[in-house]
Amino acid sequence: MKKGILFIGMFVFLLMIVGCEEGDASPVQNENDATQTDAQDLTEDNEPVVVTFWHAMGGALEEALEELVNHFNAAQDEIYVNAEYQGTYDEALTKFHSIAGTDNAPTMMQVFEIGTKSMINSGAIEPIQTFIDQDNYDMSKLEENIVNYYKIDDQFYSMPFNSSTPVMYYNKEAFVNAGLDPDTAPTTFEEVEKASKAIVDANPDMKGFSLLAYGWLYEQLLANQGALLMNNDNGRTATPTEVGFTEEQGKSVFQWVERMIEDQTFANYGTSGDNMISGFLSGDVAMFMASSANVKNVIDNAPFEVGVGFIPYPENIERAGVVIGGASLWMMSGVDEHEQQAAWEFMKYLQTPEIQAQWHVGTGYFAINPEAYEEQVVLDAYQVLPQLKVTVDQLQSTTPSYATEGALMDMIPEARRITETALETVFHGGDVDQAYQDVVDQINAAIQQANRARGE
Amino acid sequence: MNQLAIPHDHLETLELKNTLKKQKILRWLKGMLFLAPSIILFSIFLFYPLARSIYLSFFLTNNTGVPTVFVGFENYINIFTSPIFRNSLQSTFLFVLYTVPGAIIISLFLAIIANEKLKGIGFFRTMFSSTMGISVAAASVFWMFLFHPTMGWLNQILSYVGVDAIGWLTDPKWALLSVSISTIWMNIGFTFLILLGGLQSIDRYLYESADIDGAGYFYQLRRITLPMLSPTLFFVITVALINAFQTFGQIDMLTRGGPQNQTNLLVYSIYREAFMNYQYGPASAQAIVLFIIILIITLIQFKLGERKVHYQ
Amino acid sequence: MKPVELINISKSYDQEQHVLKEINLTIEKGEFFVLVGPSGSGKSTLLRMIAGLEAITDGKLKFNGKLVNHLPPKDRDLSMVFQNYALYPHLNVEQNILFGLRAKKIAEDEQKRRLMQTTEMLGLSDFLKRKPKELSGGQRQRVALARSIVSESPLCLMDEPLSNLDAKLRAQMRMEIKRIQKKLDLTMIYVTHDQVEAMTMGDRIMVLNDGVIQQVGEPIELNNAPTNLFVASFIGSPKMNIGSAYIENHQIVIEDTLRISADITTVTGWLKERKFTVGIRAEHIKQTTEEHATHQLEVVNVEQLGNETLITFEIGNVLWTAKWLGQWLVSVGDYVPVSISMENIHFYDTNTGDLLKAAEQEKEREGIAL
Repeated sequence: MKKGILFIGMFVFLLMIVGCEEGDASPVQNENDATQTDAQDLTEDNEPVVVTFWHAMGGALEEALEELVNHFNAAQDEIYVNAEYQGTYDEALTKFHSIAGTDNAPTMMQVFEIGTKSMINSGAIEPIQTFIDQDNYDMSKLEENIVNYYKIDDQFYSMPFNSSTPVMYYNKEAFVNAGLDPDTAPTTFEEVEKASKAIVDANPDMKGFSLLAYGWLYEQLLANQGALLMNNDNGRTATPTEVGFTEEQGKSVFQWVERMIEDQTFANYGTSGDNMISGFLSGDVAMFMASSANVKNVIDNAPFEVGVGFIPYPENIERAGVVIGGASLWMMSGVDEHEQQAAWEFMKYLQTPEIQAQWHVGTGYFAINPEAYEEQVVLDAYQVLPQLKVTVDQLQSTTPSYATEGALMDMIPEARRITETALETVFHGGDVDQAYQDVVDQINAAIQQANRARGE
Repeated sequence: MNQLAIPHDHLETLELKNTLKKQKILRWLKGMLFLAPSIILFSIFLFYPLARSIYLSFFLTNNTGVPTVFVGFENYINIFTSPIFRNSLQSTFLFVLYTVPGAIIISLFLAIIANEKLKGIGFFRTMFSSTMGISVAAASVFWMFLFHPTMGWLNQILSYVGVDAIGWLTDPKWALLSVSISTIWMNIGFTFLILLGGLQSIDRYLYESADIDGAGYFYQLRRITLPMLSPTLFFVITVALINAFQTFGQIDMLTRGGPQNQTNLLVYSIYREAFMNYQYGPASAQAIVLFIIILIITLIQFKLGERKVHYQ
Repeated sequence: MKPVELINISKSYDQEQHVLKEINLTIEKGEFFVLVGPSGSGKSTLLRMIAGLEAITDGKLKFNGKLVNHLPPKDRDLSMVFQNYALYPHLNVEQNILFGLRAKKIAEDEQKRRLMQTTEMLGLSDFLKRKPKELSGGQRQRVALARSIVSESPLCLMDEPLSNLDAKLRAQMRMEIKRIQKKLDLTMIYVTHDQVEAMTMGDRIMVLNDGVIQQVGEPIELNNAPTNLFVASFIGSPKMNIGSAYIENHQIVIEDTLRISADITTVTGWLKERKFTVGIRAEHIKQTTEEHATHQLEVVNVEQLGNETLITFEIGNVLWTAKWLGQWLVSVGDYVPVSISMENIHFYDTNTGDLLKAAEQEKEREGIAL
């Protein structure tokens, strides 16, 4: 009964969202056009410079981002930032590629981490290093792991902004019911399996663990074992030519899932993160892995206490840590210099401890500027939501290495889809050896294809 | 007199020939003038992209779609040796096989019962054709909820009956079928409306005459309704086939090609290859393959149709 | 046991709009019965009710003494030819003709026998494999006819079957249908709006107007003694000349202009109203010589038909037409001598339109004909 009401509520809400979005789309566009033309005429008259900012933050994250933008716009009157939602990371990047270098290009844009190489190759961006040098801006105050990811050949191409890592969410109530300690999350693959069994034993209607068929999570589970995704040091010393993980590392995740399927403790939500989270919230599954950016949202909506822990690793090896996820901000070349400067100001603004603190608390993305953790808002929030801190701890306990710096390659989106298909195959009882072999073969083929296409 | 008349005559025929020629050119120009808008539009939106796709299909491209390396037929060879593309072809054909006959048979049934003159039939006609007014996006959202693994109505109904939940969109065995079901639902409105229109244009005297001749309901259905409806059916089948091959929206919304690429239909595969993997070359090759498949099927259909369809 | 009996048959939609009112009719076996009336008179509805295509609101319909109100068309053992022929465009001539027999699963050789017989009778043998769209209008009409004949039903209904044909073909088909009907001894109910068709084909005719029977009778009866003004003006070509009249000085004054001497004593007996309406057929305004003329009338129009001449006169506010055999060279504006006789005049009640007294001359001639 409760489920039914919840379902109808969600349905109505979704229809409303869909309706609003459709209705709002064109006026926003027009407004934007108008302000853009205004900006060009009026820069001399001390009218604000308009910065067009493309982003891929949907739903609750969009609201949080809009808040930052409005705050910035209200605080001064020289720059006006116009934030435009462009769909998912994939969609936004596709749009960018089709208009790169034209007048329709934005001033700055948010691109996910695996689009880094693709953006550099596009030739339509201005490395952020230009502005850092010109301003003598100090990047060293940023989180070390983030700097490691985004510093390529000793220079910054983009400005880190929203970074998250995967964490494991668990239902503390279910843990208590299963006789498990609700304050310690399972840390290894094997512990997760054991906990899952206990949970299913205690409540046959609840599954133990769910892994989304999402390439990013697979990459993270590899990195946590210290495995490279691509060879040539994850593409950091030279362009990758093939996958970088060993058979044991690559298969470990598949085998882990396979064991849980055998135990009948595994819940399969395919590739739908929304379904998985709603399944968790309605008590159909007790543990799952997802981006830390969901922490606040999940805790706010769960009718039970939610625990957040580090992502697991095979018990026979050391934990290596996680790779920076999320996205960074890119400056376009070929736009008006005033606009670039204005966008740079906005980027710097986003790095300030106060803003990062607000962002961290409001979303669950961690603060890329560690000073933010000293801010009162964060300290206050940790009192209420200690789970937020887990994400920071996990990042800070990461061992710096090529593995945890993350792979740099332009075809990673394709690689993700390949691993996702393999994960789904395993979820449905497919052969692990075959699934693994497909992953290796297909990713290698994609790497070679991409290298050839670049003429390398 | 006579001698004078001959050259004069000759002159006249020459003049006549010239005028006729001029008129011919003028007529041709006039014709071209009327054709110009469609020729221009087709060239910009159809012929140029087609030529460009063919060109691109022989290249590898960088991420922005600029051709970099000429590879000849390699893209074609690659896609046909790729298990993913072959799987995608198979899924597409299965999808067509499920949705086209499914939608047409259900719509035909609905159209036939809605064609009866009954009180309040207008309400049912409106209901049956209502899905036409629902966009693919809205319909997909609606079905997404129905298919939800735990909270979806379908699985809740199953659990009341005591059947295990089905992973409608997550189980590779079910996903294509689920997407097909929602597609059939979406297509029923349009197909129903066209078929109903076709039914209503059948002369009612034919049925009255058959009534008097003593033909039963099903005999009339088989011998009058279906043959008389064949032009409409042919149109509907052609449109449905082409639409089914070009399905994209509901795939993008419901499954994104998954699980295990089971619903990775051709158009979605092209989209994915071009706009997610930035492999415009192979994507163009797939697009050309799709174009050829649709072309062949349509040609076959017209050849068969000529024999089976009765135009009035 | 009459093949068709209609007892108080009525038709109305939504219990208000009466299309047909209390029709009583008996049709004899082997009779060619024509339903005639202007469009909207309800004649097609009546036919469709007999066929079973239209529900009967009230009254009884009996075939051979059995009530058939409730029977569906296929159980009434009749055949029907539709105005637009209702041929199946996707079937060829043979399939069209045999459609009903196949539906009723009649034996193959019987089908073949009837097909041969019918197509030969109608001259369709060479067209069996053609589709309807490859046939001319007359050929299609024959196919429709053949389809009806092949069923060998004793009762055949036809709904304006000739209205889509040109005049010449129509005249030919009239004869053909009549011939076949007699040959096969069919009971025929034939609907038409064309009074010529009705008069030439019908053994008996029913004139219908506004859902009410105006008159039922043999063609000659309808022509000689139309029971009311409607029938009078509907039957006959050209239509009967009508004028309002009164009696003054022992004369009948028509439209205030035309005076005809009359023996008033023969009239006063039944004439109740001062004003009444007279009717006279075109052929009774006779051509005559100056000395025998009763009237001199001014010609306002002349139509030369070849074997006869139609001459129109202005009588007060109305136009009267005379039909004279042969070719008459008169021109518009001429005054011509005519003879109009009291014996040829029909008298009608102006208010109700009912016949008061039929012309005496007509009765006489009827007598002679016998």
